Order: sequence, then C-alpha cells, then structure tokens
Amino acid sequence: MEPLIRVDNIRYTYPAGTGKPALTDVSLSIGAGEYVAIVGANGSGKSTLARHLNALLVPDQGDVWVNGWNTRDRAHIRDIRRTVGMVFQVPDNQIVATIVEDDVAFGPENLGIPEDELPARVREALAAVGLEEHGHRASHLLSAGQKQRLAIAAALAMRPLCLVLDEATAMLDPAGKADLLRIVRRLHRSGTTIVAVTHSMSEALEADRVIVLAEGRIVMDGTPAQVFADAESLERYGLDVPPAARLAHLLAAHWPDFPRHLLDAEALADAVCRHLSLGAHVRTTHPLAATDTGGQPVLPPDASGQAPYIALEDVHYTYLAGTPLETRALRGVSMDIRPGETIAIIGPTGSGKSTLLQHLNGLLRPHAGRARVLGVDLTDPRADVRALRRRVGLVFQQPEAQLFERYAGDDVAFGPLAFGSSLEQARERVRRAMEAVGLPFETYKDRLTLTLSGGERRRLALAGVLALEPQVLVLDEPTAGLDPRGRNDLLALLRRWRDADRAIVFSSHNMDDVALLADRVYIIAEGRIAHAAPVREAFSAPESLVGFGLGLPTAMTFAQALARRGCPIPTDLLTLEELAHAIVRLADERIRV
Amino acid sequence: MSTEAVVQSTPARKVVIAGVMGALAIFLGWTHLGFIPWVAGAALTIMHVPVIIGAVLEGPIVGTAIGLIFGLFSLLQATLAPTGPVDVWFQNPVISVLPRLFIGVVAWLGYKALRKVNEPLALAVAGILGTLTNTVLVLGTIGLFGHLPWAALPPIAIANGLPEAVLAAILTVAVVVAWKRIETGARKSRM
Amino acid sequence: MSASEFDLLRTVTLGQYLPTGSALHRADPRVKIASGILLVVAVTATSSLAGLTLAFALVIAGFAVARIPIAYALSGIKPMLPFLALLGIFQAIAIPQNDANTTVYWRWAFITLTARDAVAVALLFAKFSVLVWGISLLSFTTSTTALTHGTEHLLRPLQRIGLPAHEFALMVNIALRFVPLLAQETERLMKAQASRGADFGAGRRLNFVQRFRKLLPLLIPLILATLQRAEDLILAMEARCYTGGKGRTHLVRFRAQASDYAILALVLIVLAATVAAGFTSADATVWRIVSTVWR
Ligand SMILES: Nc1ncnc2c1ncn2[C@@H]1O[C@H](COP(=O)(O)OP(=O)(O)OP(=O)(O)O)[C@@H](O)[C@H]1O
Ligand SMILES: Nc1ncnc2c1ncn2[C@@H]1O[C@H](COP(=O)(O)OP(=O)(O)OP(=O)(O)O)[C@@H](O)[C@H]1O
Ligand SMILES: [Mg+2]
Ligand SMILES: [Mg+2]
Repeated sequence: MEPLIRVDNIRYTYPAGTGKPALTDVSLSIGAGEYVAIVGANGSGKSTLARHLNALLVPDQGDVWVNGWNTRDRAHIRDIRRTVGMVFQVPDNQIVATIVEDDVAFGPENLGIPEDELPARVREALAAVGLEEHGHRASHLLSAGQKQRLAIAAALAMRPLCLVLDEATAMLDPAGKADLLRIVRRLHRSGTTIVAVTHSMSEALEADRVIVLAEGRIVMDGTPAQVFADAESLERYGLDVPPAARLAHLLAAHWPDFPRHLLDAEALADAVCRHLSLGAHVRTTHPLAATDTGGQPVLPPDASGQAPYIALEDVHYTYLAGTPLETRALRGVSMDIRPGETIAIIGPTGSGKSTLLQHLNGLLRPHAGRARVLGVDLTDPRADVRALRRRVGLVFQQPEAQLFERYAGDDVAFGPLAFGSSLEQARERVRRAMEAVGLPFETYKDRLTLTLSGGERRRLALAGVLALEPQVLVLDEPTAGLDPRGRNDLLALLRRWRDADRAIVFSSHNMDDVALLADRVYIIAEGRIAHAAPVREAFSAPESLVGFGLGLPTAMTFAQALARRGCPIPTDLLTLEELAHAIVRLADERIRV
Repeated sequence: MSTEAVVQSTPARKVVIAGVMGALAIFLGWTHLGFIPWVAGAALTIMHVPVIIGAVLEGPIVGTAIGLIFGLFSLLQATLAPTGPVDVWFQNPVISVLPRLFIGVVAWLGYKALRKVNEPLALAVAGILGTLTNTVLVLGTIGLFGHLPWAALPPIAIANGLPEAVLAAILTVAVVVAWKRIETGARKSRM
Repeated sequence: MSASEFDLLRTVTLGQYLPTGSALHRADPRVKIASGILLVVAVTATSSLAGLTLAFALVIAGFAVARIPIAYALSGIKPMLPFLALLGIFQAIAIPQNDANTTVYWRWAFITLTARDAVAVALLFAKFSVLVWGISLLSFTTSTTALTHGTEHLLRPLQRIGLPAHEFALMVNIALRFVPLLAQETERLMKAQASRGADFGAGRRLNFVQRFRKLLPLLIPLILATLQRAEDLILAMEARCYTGGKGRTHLVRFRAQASDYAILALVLIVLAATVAAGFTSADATVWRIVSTVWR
C-alpha cells in the first residue's frame, strides 16, 4: 500500500543560507496512523524536513509524495496542505485572526468550505482541544498553552489526515506540555497520523518510531527501543537517551546483566526490584567511587554570616496600573540571596518569574516593598541602576531579543563599550567571554548574528552578559529550546562560572535543570513566594509542586516508582547518578546482610 | 556583490509584509518613537520608512497598501488624538492619505532602476526618493488647500525633507542589507 | 505608582470600544462604517456652516441613541481648543484677505480680522468637531473585529472589479494584531540593551544626532525581528491554504435589518443636505443676520 507520505531522496539548500545543504539524501515513508518523532541537534534540519511534508518547501532534488500527490504539483497544493496540517513553535506567530473562532475558521474559509458548514467545523475543532468555551475571546489574551491548542484546532478544522508539530511544546510550562501531549495522543488514537519534532527525549518516547537527523541526513530510524539503545551514536549526534535509559546504563555499568533498553519509569522500577531481590547475590563488578556526585551541586560555603547580595522584602509590582489591562505580577515577594549561592525560581506560566528577575538589575523598581541589590537600594529613585547593571548580568528568556548588532563580535562588545571600555579593553573582554561560552573568538566574531543557530545565539547572548564580568548572573529560562548537548554544555558552563564571590539566580520550567544546578529553590505562584527551601527539601514535598503545575526531577519520579514497589530508597535524590548510587548501595547492603 | 535570495512572492507574503510594516508605521506614530525632535520644536519623522522597506521587499502594490495604512492612521490620529495645530490640516484625507499612496511606488521605481548597479546604493536612493515624495506631496496638498502660502513651503521642504531623507536612507539600507544578508564588502565586526 | 521607562504597552492600548448594548451597537457594522466614511467625505467637501450644523445634529443624535454621554466625546476635543485658537490667529495673520467686500472687525498693524477670517475659523472649528465626534461615535459603538469584518464585507463588491478588498481587510487585521506585539518586542529590546549598559533614562536632553544614534540599535533589530515574525506568520498562513481572497467563504455573515436601511437612509439624506448647503445661499443668509447683529 502506498504510504501517506513518501520522501524520496531529497536534497534542499536554502537560497539565502551559507550554501551548505540543509537536507541531503533524505528518504522516508510515513504510513497512515503512524506516530513519528523527529529528533536532532539544533540546525540539523528538522524544521526544514517538516516543511517539506506539506509543500511549504519544495526539494531541489528528489520528490515528496503526499497521499499520492507530488508536492511539486502546484495544482494539488491545497489538497496536500489540507491533508497535512502544521503547528509551529512560537504561539504568537501563527495566529492570523483577532478572535479565536475566526482564527479556527481561517483554514476552512480558504478552502471554500460552504458557509453553512463553517460553524460546525469550528465547534468541532475547538472541542477537540478543549477550547469550546473560548470561541469568542480575543486570541492574543489566551495563555501560551491555550494559543498552542488554538493552533492545533486551526489545523484540525481542515480535517487533516496528518498533523506535523514543529517543537509545538517548546515554549510551554510542564502543565501546558502535558495538556498538549494528551491532546496529541487522543488525536493519534482516533486515527490521525502524527509527526512531532522535539528536543525532549521523553516526548519522543510517545511515538511509535523515532527518526534522528544529523547535519541534514537521516542517521537513525526505528522504534524508540531500537534508537535509544545506541547511546553512543546519539551522543555523537548531540542527543541524549531518555532519562530511564540513562539510569539503566548507569546501573548496567555496575551490573553487567541489567537490561539496558528500558525506556519508561515503570519498566525500569520493575527491573530494579527484580534485580534487587533476585540478583542480590551478584557482586558489583566495579566498586563504586566513594562520592561520585557527578552533576550534584557543590554545597555553598556557609554564607549565613555574610551580608546578602540580594535582599527583597515584600516587593510588589503591577503592570499597566490604572488601565483595563492592569496585572498585579508581584504581590509581596521576599528573598535573600547570599554570595556563592545558586538560586532557582520556579512556578507556572505567568506566575511572575520574569518580573521578579527584572527587579534584580533594576530594570523594574518595586512599586511597594524594599529591594537591595549589591548594596543599591532600588526604592531610592536616585539609585544608580546603570552601575548596578554592570555587576548584575541579566540573560533574557528569548535570546533573539538580546542580539542587536549585525556581527557576533560587535554584539558581545555592546556592553563593555556602553560602559566606556576602550576598543582594546573591550576586545580582550569579548575574547574571554566568547571563549568561555565555547564560541572561539576568531571563528565567530565576524559571523552575522542572523545566521547563527538557536544554540549559538543562546551562547552569544550569554557571552554578551559575561563580557560585563558581573558578580551576579541572572538567567531567565536559560535552557528552553536547546538541544540536549547544548543544554548540558550550558549547565556545565554555569557550574564552572560559580564561585564563592558570585551568585546565580535563574528561572526554569525544567526541574532537572533545577536539580542539577540550584542550591535553593523559591516556588512562586500568582506573584507570591509559595515555598522556599534547599533544593532537596523542596522536591521532597512533591504534592505542593504538582499543585502548582510543576513537575519533579526525573530522578525523583523514578525513586517514587521504586518506593511504590516497596523498595526502601530515599526519595530526595536529585540526579540520576545519585539514584544509581543509592540503588547499588542498597544492593550491596543486602549482600552484606 | 550580493548573495540575495530569490524568494518567491505569494499572496500570503504580500498581505503579511504589508500588515506588519503597516503595524510598524502605526507603532512608530503612536508611541512617538518615529519622531525625532528637530530645530524649533519641529520633529523629523521616520514613520514612512516601513512603506519604503515594504515597497523594496515586495513591490509597488504592497508599498501602496502600507502607504494607505500609514495615511489612514495619520488621518485617524489627527482626528482622534491631535497634538498640534497642524493636525487639523491632516484631518483632510487629501493631505493625510493621498500623498502617502505614492511613497511606495516612487521608492520602488528608484530601487528597481538601480539595483542592478549597486544594491545598497539603490536602497539609499529608494529611501531618499520615497521620503521626498512624501514631503513634496504633503506640502503640495497643504499649499493647494491654502493652509500655508506657497512661498513658505520650499524652506520647510528643505529643513524637514532633506534630513528625513537622510535618516530614511540610513534605515532602509541598514535593515534591508541585514535582512537579505547582502555582503557590503565593507568592514566586518569592529572587534 | 510610577510607570516604568519601558512601559510602552500603556501607550498603545485600544480602549475605544464602549459596549453599552444600545441599538446603535447592534446595528450592522457595514452601515456604521459606510456612514462614517460618508461623514468624512461630506464634511471635507462642504464649506457651509449651516450644512455642518445639520451633520453635527446627526452625530449628537447618534450619541443619544448609543447612550454614550456627550462628555465622553467632549474630553476628546478639549486638548485641541488652544491649537484651534492658535490656528485662528494664524489664519488672521498669514493669509491676508485683501478683499474690499468683507467687513473688517479689527485692525492692528498688518493684522486684520475680517468677517471672512471669522467664517474660516468657525468653519474649521465646526468641521473639526463633527469629524472628531463622528469618528469617536463609530469607534465607541463598533468593536475592532466588527470594524474589520464590516470593512471587508463592505468592500466585497469591489473585489468583482479586481480590487483586493479581502486582502486589504486581512492586512488591516494583521496590522492591528501586530501593534501590541511590536510594543512588547520593543520593550524586550530596550530592557536587553539597558541590561547591558544602554541608557534610555529620560530627563537628559539629547541633541538630534544623539537621539537618532540611540534609536538605530533599537529600530533595526526591531524591524528585523518583525520581519522574522512575519516569515513565521507567512508559513502558518500558507500551511492553512491561504492563496488570496478568491474562492474564500466566510464564517461571519451580516444580514442587514430594516432598521439598518433606515439608519443608512437617514445618514444619506442629512449628509446630502450638508453638501448641498455649500451650493446654496443658506450661509449667506445666516451671515447677513450675524453681521447685522454685530453692527
Ligand atoms: N530561512 C533560512 N535561510 C537560510 N538558512 C536557513 C533558514 N532556515 C534554516 N536555515 C539553516 O538550515 C539548517 C537547518 O535548519 P533547521 O531550521 O531545519 O534546523 P532545526 O533542526 O529545525 O533546528 P532547531 O532545533 O534549532 O529548530 C541550519 O543550518 C539553518 O541555519
Ligand atoms: N510587559 C508587560 N506588560 C504587561 N503585563 C505583563 C508584562 N510582562 C508580564 N506581564 C504579565 O504579568 C504576569 C507575570 O508575568 P511574568 O512574565 O513575570 O511571568 P513568568 O512567570 O515569567 O511566566 P512564563 O513562565 O510564561 O515566562 C503575567 O500575567 C503577564 O501577562
Ligand atoms: Mg526547528
Ligand atoms: Mg518568564
């Protein structure tokens, strides 16, 4: 039988690009009803491939066939595009109309669906994503998660056979991601073919089939079990295995007979329990290093005696006060951050994380309450916030928004030059900052910022802030949208940067980042600090986290799965390495008994 | 030298570029970001630059459409939120809307004539011609309606029109060169 | 509470629509838009005070029907009064009326205030008021969506003769949707630059070159980011089969009621009278009376 989509040996080079092909010799077939995940490093060609699937791009060589139509055939372009619907990454950039209903109707209207039929189509599509109550609302007032659901509804209104999601969950918080995945799973069950591009290996596990792209070529294609069995290759392509497989590998390093190809928490927990009871007599082959803390955060020096770098006391902030759009973003936030600490701020979308972080370098000033940062009183209207900004570096949520020069080198130099460095001094600082983030100065300084990949832009933005040589580094969701290798590199970089005189404050939706990096956690909800605790403690009360729409670090999810099976494992472990360590020790203790 | 792409223009592209550049013109006017104080309380404006950029990127029809949005917006702003006596004149669509329809066409003609010779030069010329079209036609219609004596017009045209043309040229070149990734061959990073 | 120096969104909030649920709010937006356009045309075309008075009465009646306090519209006109006064003076000075037939009320050096000047200023003021109140009424009673849909439907006949009515409506829609996004984008850019030492602090007076220098690193990335967003939106629209206005159907349909035709007829009659008054001697009569009283 002819597959729904057949990609036949295609090659594509962007006309305005570097001249390097974005796709080379790509062939694949996708059958009706399949659920395919496409993974790959930043810039590996995932979006380019996705855009070939509904004729948004047409290959330079080779052919793409959708439901029997060649995408070169302009006569069938509508048939192709109504067969394969698309959802993109940035929620705001794919909404056409100002009212939710109108936006959903946009596709069917273009197809010329009879006007009597349109309202039913719109209702049906909105119901499929749970937005039926919101039909008359203004589309720009929806939350990010709702906007992405709207984008899916807009595609569904054309009744496609296949839905392509290009990193559709990348900009959502854990609750929004979970909602979206649930909707996609339901669509798949009811027969829609799904092609999902993602950086999250756990999301890739949802699929029946995983395709790995590297430098524009398909390098792996198989079931999740097959693909994720080959950890070495994945790492070479800048990817990672799903967390369960990582843990399985860690355990297998100690117990050679431990199954390596486990993908989800439940199967893993079963295997561990089996191993603990059956295999108790098997001695570990490698004795464990005494303190193999891997990525665990270094404990801060006892800083309680020192004056805090940052002291907020009952800080309030209201956007657009006195207008109909007034938003009370902060409603009484207090916190103390001391030298040497790394602090994570977590909370659901819209809880005020970004607003809070912008207070730390005086971009925003408290409307009520007190705020002292590095000795500067922000409530004092004469405070020199500009001088403060050199000592408190802020990296924003969207790296695109903070690159404003044409050439990478100039962009990093923006800060030093603005603060009056000479060209010579600036060059030295720029060189150091760029080397620190892994962008060699000579290679990158003359690159056009517009042509950098997502990961490179993120690093460049960080370099621009590091070039100021700040004392406190503030990062707003530093790892969102990065591929696994980029994320690991960034976390490693931040760990290296820390020392006793510096402090890091960051926000994140990714609990593993928090577990890997933070000493203490502040949970913020509706503009108030709901909970503040050392990281281990914060995660050991999981009920409160789930209540705020937040997840748990993967290690803790596994530990809980084990605990449910009666395995006496501590549940406050932060990293997979710690968990593996604890499991192996548990086995060792049993042998001794 | 140019590594410019031949991006195929589609109906969606035309509508969207016209829409976002129109939004930019509105935004510049609304926030007064597009006004730069000049001598004697007068202000230079760069509100028409989106019209020029749109025309250069997507042709004369898109340019005219953005000009129409720009014109309608200045009509509305002059009527609903006037800030000076001159706004009363701009309540007349013949002054506020009509002249703006020609900015894009003229800019595009200038660009098209010269782009084969030298692209950055063509862009600068588009910026200058587009601006001058705006200045001359707006002042011309003001003269026609007798709001100002004809003799008063040339000095205004020179005092406002010329510096505005320079600003528009700088912006048009900078934006389009970066967007189309045109290699200017000049300096690279200062570092 | 102080506004932040980056608070751009504040200046671009569209707070014009005042839903009171009146009959005028429920009227067909096509009729309201057409009336608005006719009003602008008529007011621009006429030069008769009597005619403008008629149009003015029409607008005031509209306010009454819409149940919107006149004070609401008055507040829009207040900031303009000093300018209008200035303009009147300007008219008196700059455009000498060397016409022997006109009554001179007042003379000082080269400044003469004649009856003709008085008429000109009065006309200006009347035109201005009618326009401001008329357009305010339209925006008070019609939501943005109704406005864009209405415009599109109104222009649809033009589509048949090849004018891109649908494209125009869609373009306006996109433009309105992007203005707040641009405000956000600018705010982000300003904050990012301020974080790295750029100084946007108000207060210090900058000369013109400095201001432009400061504006460039803001405007260029803003425009480029906007174009990048536009690319995304283009893809999203093409993925949803957009190929222009031809053959499209419409979710929103309007059905004009008898009351809508009645409104349109009334507006047409009054505005026709407004324009016609310019060609009659209505004003001359009015002026003779005024001049007599003055003497
Ligand atoms: N519009 C464009 N013009 C020129 N080059 C482009 C364009 N879009 C992408 N590229 C280049 O093509 C290559 C593949 O890009 P693509 O966007 O498909 O990667 P991706 O796998 O989706 O990356 P990411 O994970 O960052 O989204 C990259 O080298 C990129 O720089
Ligand atoms: N510049 C702004 N103008 C007006 N309202 C704003 C602005 N920035 C944020 N808000 C509003 O303030 C509230 C807090 O927003 P904030 O961006 O601080 O949340 P967040 O926790 O960072 O969310 P996210 O996880 O989505 O980044 C939200 O309701 C948001 O809509
Ligand atoms: Mg991509
Ligand atoms: Mg945020």
